Amino acid sequence: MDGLEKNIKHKKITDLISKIAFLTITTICASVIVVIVAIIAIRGFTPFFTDYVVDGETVRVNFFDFLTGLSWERGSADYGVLFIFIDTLYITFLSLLISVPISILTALFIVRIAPKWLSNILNVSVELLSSVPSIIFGLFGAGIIAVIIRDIGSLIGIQTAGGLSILTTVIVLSMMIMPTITMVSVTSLKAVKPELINGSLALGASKTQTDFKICLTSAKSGIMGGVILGVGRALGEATAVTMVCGNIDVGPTFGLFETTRTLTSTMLSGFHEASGVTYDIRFSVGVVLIILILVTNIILNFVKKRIGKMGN
Amino acid sequence: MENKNLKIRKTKDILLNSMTYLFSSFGIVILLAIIIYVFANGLPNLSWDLISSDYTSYTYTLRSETPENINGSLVYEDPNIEGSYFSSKWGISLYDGNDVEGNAAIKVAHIDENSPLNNMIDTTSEKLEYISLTVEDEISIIQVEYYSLDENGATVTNYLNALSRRGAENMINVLNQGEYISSLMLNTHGGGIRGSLISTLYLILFTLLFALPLGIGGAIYLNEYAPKNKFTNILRSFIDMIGGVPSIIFGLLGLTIFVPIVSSITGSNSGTILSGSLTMACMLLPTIIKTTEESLKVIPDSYRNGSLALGASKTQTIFKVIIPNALPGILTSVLLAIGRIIGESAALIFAIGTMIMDSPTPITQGTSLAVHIWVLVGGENPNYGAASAIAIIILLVVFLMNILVKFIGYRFRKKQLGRG
Amino acid sequence: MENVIEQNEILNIDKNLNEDENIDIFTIEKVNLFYGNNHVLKDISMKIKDKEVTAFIGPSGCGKSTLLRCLNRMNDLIQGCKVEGLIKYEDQDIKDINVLTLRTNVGMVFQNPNPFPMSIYDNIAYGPRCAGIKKKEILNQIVEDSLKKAALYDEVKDRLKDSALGLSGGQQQRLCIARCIAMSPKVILMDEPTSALDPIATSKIEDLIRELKKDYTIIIVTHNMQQATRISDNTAFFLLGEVVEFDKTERLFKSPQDKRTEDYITGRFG
Repeated sequence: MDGLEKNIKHKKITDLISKIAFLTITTICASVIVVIVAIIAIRGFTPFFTDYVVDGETVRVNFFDFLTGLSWERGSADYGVLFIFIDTLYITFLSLLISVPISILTALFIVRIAPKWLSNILNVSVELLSSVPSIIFGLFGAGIIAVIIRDIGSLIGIQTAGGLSILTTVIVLSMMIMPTITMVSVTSLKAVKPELINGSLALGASKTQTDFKICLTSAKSGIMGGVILGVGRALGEATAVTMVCGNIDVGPTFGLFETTRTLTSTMLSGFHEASGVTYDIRFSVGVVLIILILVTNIILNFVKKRIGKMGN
Repeated sequence: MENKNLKIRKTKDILLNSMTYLFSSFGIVILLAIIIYVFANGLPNLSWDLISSDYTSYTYTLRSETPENINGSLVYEDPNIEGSYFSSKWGISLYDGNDVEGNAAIKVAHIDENSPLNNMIDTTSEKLEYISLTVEDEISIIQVEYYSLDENGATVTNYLNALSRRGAENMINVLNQGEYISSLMLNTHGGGIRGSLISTLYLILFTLLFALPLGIGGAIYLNEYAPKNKFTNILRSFIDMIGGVPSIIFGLLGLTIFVPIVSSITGSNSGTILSGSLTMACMLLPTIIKTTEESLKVIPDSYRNGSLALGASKTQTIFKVIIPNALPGILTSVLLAIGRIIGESAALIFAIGTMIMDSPTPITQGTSLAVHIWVLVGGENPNYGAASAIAIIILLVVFLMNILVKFIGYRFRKKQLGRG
Repeated sequence: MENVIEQNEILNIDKNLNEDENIDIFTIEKVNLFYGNNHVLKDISMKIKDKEVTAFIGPSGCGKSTLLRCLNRMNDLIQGCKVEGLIKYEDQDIKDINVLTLRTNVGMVFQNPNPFPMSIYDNIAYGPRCAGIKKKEILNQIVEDSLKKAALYDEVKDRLKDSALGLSGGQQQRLCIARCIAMSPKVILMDEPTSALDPIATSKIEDLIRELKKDYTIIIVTHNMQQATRISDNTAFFLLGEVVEFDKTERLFKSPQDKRTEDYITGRFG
């Protein structure tokens, strides 16, 4: 009897210990996000309170100039993030303009229109495309799309920086976010209730009308979720964009054949030779990037909720 | 009227339908374009040499101990190797080859044992070691300095470089003119990715070592222990938020936290593969937790209750029943993680650096294959051929991982159906 | 082209004929239906009268809903479903009628209310829009008329732009009926339209059906025998894929000819 009780007690203690251990592990996992935010915030604000010596001169980055500046590293302590911010939004917007219609129609095709075998092939292709790492998109963009854009540019008499341009960046980004939006849209289109589809068909609507009017409307909240993910990927994408954007140092630029600069490319390009202020300022850009992603997420989620109210 | 109306509707429908056909073809076209581009550019460069050789190219200057063969007093036997040119005076046969990057190079096909060229001193190293020109090494001759005798018998110094461009036959002719070879400059090829391959493997190993226990533990807590309260919700939403953070931000995290931590322990003064692994581990946590939790969710409660009813404690149940049954999910998360690690670039550029190492260790710098591409393409003379060759390896691994994940999922579902 | 003109002429002639009473709007002859190897409907023959309410009753799985779905060819959508025999709508084989035209003329209301995730207005206007009506005034008129006919207008007239999903179950079902009416069909098929509703909502729908039968032929599948007696003129009793008895409702319930019908309506099985 004594032994049994001891055994039970022993088990209770091990259970408690393992519970605490698992809780600790989970807390560690979750706290990663807290650490990230804290670190980036602290280091991001450092440059505005630190004196740097550049070419024998003591300089300090002005916080206000940073927020409103329209050029980057044109002089000492010249770090204006505003134009980069605008360029980033512009590129993301254009990429969505291309990729959203393609993704939605692809998803509709996969779920409702394509014969089974074709639907399977497409589905697998989209999944594989979504797994292609960004460095390979960058290689593809710089190796072939930039060349094509350069040739098109010279054909119509526009000088491009070796094909590095807004257009190249937008094409590469669209390719990268297309699979994300498509995969989420496929899931939400598959979840459209058959009753709605039958209801539409019973009213004498054709299959295509049903697909476009009922399925897309019913899935729009889910599709919006895919768009949110796509925007997140577009804003945060670094490697591929850096390889094709051209990293212009003044802006904003809007011409399709002009070079551009994004928040991420600013952080990444020339990093290995950066030191002092050019090194620290990348954290400040990181803060801007995080805030941008957070705000767009909040806005888009709000839009999604509004859409969702009309839907299911 | 009705008839016309139906016709209009039909036309509209066909138009809309064909639009979906057109648009959805883009996905396949892009995928094929990428694959074709990468393979067309990379396949000619993808060789065992590329995979097995060093990235750095070394140049040796060799001085001969017994450099003379005046008037051809010694004659060496021709091994008659096809496609190569032989100098009977110096006992060496050479052929035109290519280096790893596909450029022309003069390579050694055979060298006689007694040839003076077989026994030279490396003047580039301080220790003056003897070096023999072996056939196996991937080297090419780039420069030669020799004396020859002019018509009057006086010695003339000849100095020839950029030899590789002129071909092996020319080289043999040049050597045959010489009476005295003072120095020979050799080049190992370089451009290989052996170091980056090793780095990538280290990176995968250590990342999984850090991430798996945390991720699996987190999944077990969330699925088996977590009470339904606000704190659990916060934990969950925090973990979800990690998944939305762009990889470049993880790079900053690694740079600020992990690089100093690892440095202070190991004494290195730069990013290391370990600091990169820790960074990648943070990045992969949400994926691992989610995938593992999915597989925990489908374990029927009867398994848990059965184990508990037999008197096993909760801890025993978790380690003996839950984890073994979650293996397909854990395996899936490992495969997904490998795919992500091998493709990741931005975070690693920050958290390790871009220094390509030929013999990396966990506590030195090292580049993953993806970062290797970044270095090749990001430099002044982008080398798309070699980059594409590496891209082939990355693509194959990533696709393989994806297919395996699908296969495991399929097998698992089948088992579930059988069980249900 | 010529075929369709001919078809239209026939339709016009039919319209004229329909003004007489007791025309057969559906003629079903020896219909057999298979799902794969499953023989679901066996040799069904019946004639359904215009401007009357016909009820299909019977235990679950007896094929009553399946037959209903044959009438507007909704079974075409199910893979592996094979229909043999002849179904004539207004003396024309339904296989020869354009399926979209057929479904415009033969509307359907489903068991569970299935309003589309859009506004009330858009729900009603959906069918007419699909049929190619674009003019706003016409659409407004159709929406108003349909809602009035479905006895829903007064309840929703101030919130036509609100989501239809905000309506109660009964309102949603009446909306679905209104949506159906908006296509100005001749026949409305109802597949257990009240089974998901509470008694008050059910009685409203029943009132509505009694009102609608002045203008439309209604075929209703129901598992509720009282409902059949309350609203229908004719009743068909289905059992295991066969029509056991088909008669005037009064006669069928008072003096059933078949033993099985009697057993069912007296509640001995089912």
